[in-house]
Amino acid sequence: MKVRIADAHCIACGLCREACPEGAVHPRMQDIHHRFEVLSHECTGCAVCLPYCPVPPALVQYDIATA
Amino acid sequence: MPRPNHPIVQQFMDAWVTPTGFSGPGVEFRMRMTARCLPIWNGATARAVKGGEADRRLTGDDWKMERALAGYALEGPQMSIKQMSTQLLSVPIDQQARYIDLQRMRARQIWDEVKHGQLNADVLLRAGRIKREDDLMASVEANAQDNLAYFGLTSMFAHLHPLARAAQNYFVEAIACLGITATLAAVDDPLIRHQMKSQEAEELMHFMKGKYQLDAYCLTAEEQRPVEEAFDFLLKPWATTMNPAFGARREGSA
Repeated sequence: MKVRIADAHCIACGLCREACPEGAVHPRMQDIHHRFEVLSHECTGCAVCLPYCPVPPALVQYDIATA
Repeated sequence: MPRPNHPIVQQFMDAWVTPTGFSGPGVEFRMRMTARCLPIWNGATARAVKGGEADRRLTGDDWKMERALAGYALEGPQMSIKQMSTQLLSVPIDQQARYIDLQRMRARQIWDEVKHGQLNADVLLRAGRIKREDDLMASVEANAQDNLAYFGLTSMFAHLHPLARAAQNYFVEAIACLGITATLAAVDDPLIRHQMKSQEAEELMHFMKGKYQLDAYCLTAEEQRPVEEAFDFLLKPWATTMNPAFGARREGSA
């Protein structure tokens, strides 16, 4: 399992970035709205970020086998 | 006869400095201060172009790391919170209502500056130089910077007036805008462009915030005096150093 960010819900607060022990959450490239992205090759799927998201639908767990 | 402006400065003047929605003493004051700022803006822009062109010729990642570390020292959480707190705290409680628009913009700028710190950290993270942002706490380069004490709490006491910081917004943020434009014209590295493009519009907002304060608030000699004093300080010959984050290089370095 890995985590991705659902833009429709994300408020770009950055808490997932702070919580991620792998540093897998980054500001999206050249995004003036400062939204974030999870780099899938850095995400280990540990899910530490999930309980900190203030808009839970914004962090989505997905199965890499079916993604 | 005054020297012509650097083309990047002239473009900035035409697009953002000259147009105004106000008229009167505030605008006249701002244009008088602008004439004082121009030699520094031109020099800083020329140095940023030179620095960008020098960087473009370099191989390896070290120059990017230098920029990112300096940018973090300039805009990371420590500097952002100190710098912006001094702006917010310059308005006494009994004057909050009068300056509530400025206070709202200053509060917004805290968010901006912290995001800019994140972007500089992201250059280092994406380049694999650090594993987590916390790693930067062990870096001298990411924490020490040679900008004026004006940007720390120490100078707050010399510039307590609620409008004094307009000078900083106007003079310094213009240098940030010009430095970013100059660097983007020279540097094609995707990480540096990411860091700069993501914050470019906000730097302009910070400049325009200075412009608004000068145009709309600095209408009387009493209101202009503390702002001009802040300009006097910022324009001292020894005061202007341009941070490597925006393309400057120390004398003697590459």
